[in-house]
Amino acid sequence: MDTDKLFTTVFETYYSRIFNYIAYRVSCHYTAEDLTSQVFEKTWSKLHSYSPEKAPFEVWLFAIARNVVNDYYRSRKRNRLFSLDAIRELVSSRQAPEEHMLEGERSGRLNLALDTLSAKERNIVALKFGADLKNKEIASLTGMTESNVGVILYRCMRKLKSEIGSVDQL
Amino acid sequence: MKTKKTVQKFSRDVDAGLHHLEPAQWKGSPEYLELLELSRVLAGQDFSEASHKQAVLGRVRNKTYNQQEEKIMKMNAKLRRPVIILASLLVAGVLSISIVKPSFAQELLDRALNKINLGNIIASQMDPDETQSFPEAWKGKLYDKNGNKIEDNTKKLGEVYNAEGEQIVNFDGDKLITKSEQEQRDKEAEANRLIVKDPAELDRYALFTVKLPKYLPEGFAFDHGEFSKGEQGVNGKYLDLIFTSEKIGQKLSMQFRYSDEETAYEMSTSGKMEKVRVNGADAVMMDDRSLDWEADGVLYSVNTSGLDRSEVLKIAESIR
Repeated sequence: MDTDKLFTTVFETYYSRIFNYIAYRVSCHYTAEDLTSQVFEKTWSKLHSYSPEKAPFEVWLFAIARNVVNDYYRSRKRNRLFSLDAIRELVSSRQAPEEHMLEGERSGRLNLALDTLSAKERNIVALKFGADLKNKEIASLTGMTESNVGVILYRCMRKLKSEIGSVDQL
Repeated sequence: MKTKKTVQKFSRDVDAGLHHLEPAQWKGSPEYLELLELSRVLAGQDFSEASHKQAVLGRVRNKTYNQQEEKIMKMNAKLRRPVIILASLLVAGVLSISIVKPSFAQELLDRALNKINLGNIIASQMDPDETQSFPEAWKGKLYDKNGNKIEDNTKKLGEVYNAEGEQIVNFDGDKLITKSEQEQRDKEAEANRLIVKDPAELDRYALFTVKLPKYLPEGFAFDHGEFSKGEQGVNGKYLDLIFTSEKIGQKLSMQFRYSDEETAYEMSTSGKMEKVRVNGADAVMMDDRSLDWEADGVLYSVNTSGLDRSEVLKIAESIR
């Protein structure tokens, strides 16, 4: 009963940030929703084992989110080798439809710009602007130093800026 | 050097949330301000607005509740009938069949002197001299008949009561069951019971072929079989068989179960426990009074009192 209450509070407090973090990492709205629900399922089942001595709550929560997204990409890589969808994708020589599904919510220009970032860089951008985390928290999540996080973030922003051009077009 | 400073400044500014503030409060070169502007746009995107938040919450709840239920079901299945016969335990002698094993029971079972594992039946033998620690969950809840608090189990007690003076006759998990609660439970169970008087009818409901004993000691007769029934009809997995005896002090009952993970059970005794054979299958004999074994996908449990060991074996052997 208490877990239920606690969980509801966590869900209400972090839903947007978790969703936005995931949305910055995957381009499909439905995938983002699905992965968000996976993150909260995992959160619920692990809530009793969370210990504040080990990590601040946000770091713990976004570590779950990061793992869920990483697992998603890993499984996609595997599926690409075998699944029919992958073959269809190759035949049509177009990107999977999901690549563009966030369009309308996110401009194509931003999408394309985000695609130029490496997975690691995109994760940092997602943690900074989607999850709204402090550099210190990102550092402890990624194992990088705080200053390194700052450097990568700056580099990412310059890259995005040069891809996008004017911010007004977003 | 200049770049390094810019990187540090940007890092500090964004970390401090400057991009969340109005551009009028920003300072720096036009290029720097553009980066802050981009940060502001990125941080301002709320993709979750277009998502179905309540649907996601519903999905999470459904999934976790289902998982929890499965977990509980699995747990209950293993513990469906833990006959914990511990002489040094307070309620020993008064407990009948508890639905869920109390939390301290596993710890006790882990310290078993001896264990016989027949797959879906696990039997443990406890050390009768070992003093068990008083169950945490029951501390402060038990009294003797004079109203004195019972806080240890060093001395053997007869009847036990709660703070209100109601007699405790059973437990279900950690919950202590009073006499009136037990009567209520019995009444409810009674209402959900299907009594089958004709032995030939038993096969109609059971999920297995019912093999009744061909041998019964003198004076004994089959009385009836019992199935439980719920909203989904009769549960054919469990069958209780009741026998009557003309002789006072002699009792015989049996429980047959369709053998699977759900019906598996654990039991224990602080008395005698030995491995015997019943029609070629491994079986557990406890205190010369009960025999449990599995054959042809059925778990058999024969429980007696007032009978000789050889008679118990003979009854069991005649079930084939």
